[in-house]
Amino acid sequence: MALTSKSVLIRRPDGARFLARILQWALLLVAFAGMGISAYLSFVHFNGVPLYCESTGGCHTVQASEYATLLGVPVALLGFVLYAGIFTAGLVSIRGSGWPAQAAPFLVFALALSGVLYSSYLTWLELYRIHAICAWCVASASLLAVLLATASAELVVSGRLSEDRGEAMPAE
Amino acid sequence: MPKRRTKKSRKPAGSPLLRRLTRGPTVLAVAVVGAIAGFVVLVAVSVMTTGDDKIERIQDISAEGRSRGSDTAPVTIITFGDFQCPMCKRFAETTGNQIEAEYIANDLVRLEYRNMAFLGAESVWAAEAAQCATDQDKFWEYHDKLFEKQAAENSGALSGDRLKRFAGELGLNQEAFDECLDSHRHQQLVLDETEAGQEAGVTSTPWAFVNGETVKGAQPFADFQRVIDEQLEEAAKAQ
Repeated sequence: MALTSKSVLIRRPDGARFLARILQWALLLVAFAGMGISAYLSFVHFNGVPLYCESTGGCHTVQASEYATLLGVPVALLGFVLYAGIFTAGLVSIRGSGWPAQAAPFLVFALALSGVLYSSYLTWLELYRIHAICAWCVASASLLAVLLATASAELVVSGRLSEDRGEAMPAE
Repeated sequence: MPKRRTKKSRKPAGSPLLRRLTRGPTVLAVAVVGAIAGFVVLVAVSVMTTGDDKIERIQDISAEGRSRGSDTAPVTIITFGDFQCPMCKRFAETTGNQIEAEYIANDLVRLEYRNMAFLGAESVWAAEAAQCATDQDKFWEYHDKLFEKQAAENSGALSGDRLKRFAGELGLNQEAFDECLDSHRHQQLVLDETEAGQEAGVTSTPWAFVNGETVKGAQPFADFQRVIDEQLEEAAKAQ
């Protein structure tokens, strides 16, 4: 019988199961919001439409700087790929089956962690190299921090960090 | 391996090694290491592909005749200005002079003036005129004159006729100057330089790169001093 995320066996209290599900859905929501922001910024980059920016114009400075692209790829596009990856892995962890469904939450965690680390670096660049702050970038960094916290909480609450083979979500 | 298992008696399948490798904490450790590795790679790429290029792109455009100080000075300050910008006037007439006295005169700093002609048509004309003065080795005199005569933006204070009159007042060859200005000989240089500055991140004036480090705005001399001294120290260490 196939091992699904639903049929795995560690006994978890009802409350933990419920909380884990809430966290998984919250993760999808936040990742989706992140996809929206990064898609917008990527669109602005490729189409040259004006960026909706607050009065001091920090967004424009940051988006025009050399740091807004990495090897010619807009950082916003990299962000979109990251958020889409998190979203997809999140879906797999809820609806998937077999080992992908078990591995997915760890992938979400890894992506969120690398996202938080890299956006910290980008924030440092804003402060010490570009000398301007872009509100969109701050928003994205915040979303990634929320994603990391949510992913970490989910790993703990769902019992995936317990001994047996990462199996965690109990039968529903 | 039996195909049917009841829920309660299920045991994880796979070899003991596989079971160990796929334990939660182990997978988490792999996830953390992977995330950090990915981050390091991205930062390395970023650091290797950004930074000093922007200064090189600016300096591909010649600033001959528009710099002061020894060519061997350890610190180079590239200042971007717009002749219609009031803060640039202030910078030139205060901090600029202090930098001249304290650092340029002592062969510690070389300062280049670069155009960020972005406040309107008169900004570009004035910059072109200053370039025409450069042709006659009178850039700095003309630069000072332009700031002296600065008035409201695009108000006609820096119109073609007045620009030509300034040249006459400074003793330049009027015919050569007028010809240079009317033919827009240096328009492309001004536009290219402005673009190079914008690509390097300049968004307002005055703007300075002190050995690549940004100092934005007409900061007090003390602020410039701090940055210049830091760069002098670094340059001394590098030797």
